[in-house]
Amino acid sequence: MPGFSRLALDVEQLKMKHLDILAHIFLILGLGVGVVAVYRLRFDSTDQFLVILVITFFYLLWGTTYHHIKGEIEKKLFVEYLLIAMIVVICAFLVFVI
Amino acid sequence: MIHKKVIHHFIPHQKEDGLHHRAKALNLSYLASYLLILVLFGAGLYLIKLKAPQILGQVMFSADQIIALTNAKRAQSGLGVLSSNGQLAQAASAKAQDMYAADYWAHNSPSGKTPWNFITTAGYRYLYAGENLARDFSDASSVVDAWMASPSHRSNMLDTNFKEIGVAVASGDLEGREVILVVQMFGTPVSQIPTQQPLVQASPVPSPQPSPAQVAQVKEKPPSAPSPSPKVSPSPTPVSVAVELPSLETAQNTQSTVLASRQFSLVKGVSFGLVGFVFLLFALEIIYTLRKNHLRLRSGVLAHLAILAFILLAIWYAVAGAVL
Repeated sequence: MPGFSRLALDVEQLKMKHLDILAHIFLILGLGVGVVAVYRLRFDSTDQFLVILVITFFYLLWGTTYHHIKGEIEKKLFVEYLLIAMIVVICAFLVFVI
Repeated sequence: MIHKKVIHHFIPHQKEDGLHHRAKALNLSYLASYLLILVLFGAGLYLIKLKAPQILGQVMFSADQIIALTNAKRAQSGLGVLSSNGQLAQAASAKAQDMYAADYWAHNSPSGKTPWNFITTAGYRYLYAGENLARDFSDASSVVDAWMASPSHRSNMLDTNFKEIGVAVASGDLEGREVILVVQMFGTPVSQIPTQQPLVQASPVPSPQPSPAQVAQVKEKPPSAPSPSPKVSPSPTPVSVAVELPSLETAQNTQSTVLASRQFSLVKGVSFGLVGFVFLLFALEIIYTLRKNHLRLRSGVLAHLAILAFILLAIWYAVAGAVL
């Protein structure tokens, strides 16, 4: 039943598209909360650094979960997320802690 | 061919194998090298700060600048300027030295000394008093901007009850770090008119005990002072008393000056530059991929762009220092 398979494929693709949109909205919302928190704490550098740490951890968790659901999680991708997270954390450490 | 090799470092491309390749500058090895650059920069900065801090450059930062900027903010709000008072400056200096000696960052010391203790010890009899604190700023205008951005500190800065000000700026070691402390004391003396009459012994004015929540914006006034003059009314209107107050010096705070390192602006610039570069590469990838239909966007690129935008904003708004 090629028509049914095609329909099932379309439904699956639609689900993935919805997942993409929802997941990215969730990510943007989380980062938005982080931006507000960092701005409001702009005269307390230690707390700002803690917020950035939490947001970076959220980013890593989001990436791992999102790509796992999509079935495309692999070592290279995870390392990419990790390297960018570490760049963010080191920058934050240099600016807000040292 | 050479220009293609250069371009392929910065934009995604499709090779002869038909596979999509990211910009080379976004390969894992390049990302690892950006991380290494940041780590080495941080380590180098730390070493320079230890061995030769003058290399980082310094900015002069004085109490006089704080007072001038405070008065400028008051003038902008249509308020009268505050006179510089030597006793308040002395109290502020004593408070700064006490914070270094007892290693604390608070309005009240661990031993229970309040800001009012320092003010009265300096010989200043006040009708109203207040205190603002700041640390780790690299210039005077950032300190004043930080206070103005905080409602409680702004309230002190623009209080119409205060007539005089004393500021101390001191560098030292606090909680294991080299910091610059700024102590700003506000006051209105019991009498603003010093007299030539002999000093009359009066029992010390008991220090008020503000609640911790009010410390940053206290407008303290002492209870009725036992004196031979008519009793001091608790109203805001100063009442002249028949005692001679210690001479209210209006010496300039020119001695209270420190040299603040330019380290923060250097770190901010380098971090912003490097993260901005990586952000631009990811943005370029998205733009190029959208324009070229035969390329597809790699997984996770949007997320990377979002987190880099977040840290860029955080660095942009970063301010050295904290207020209390």
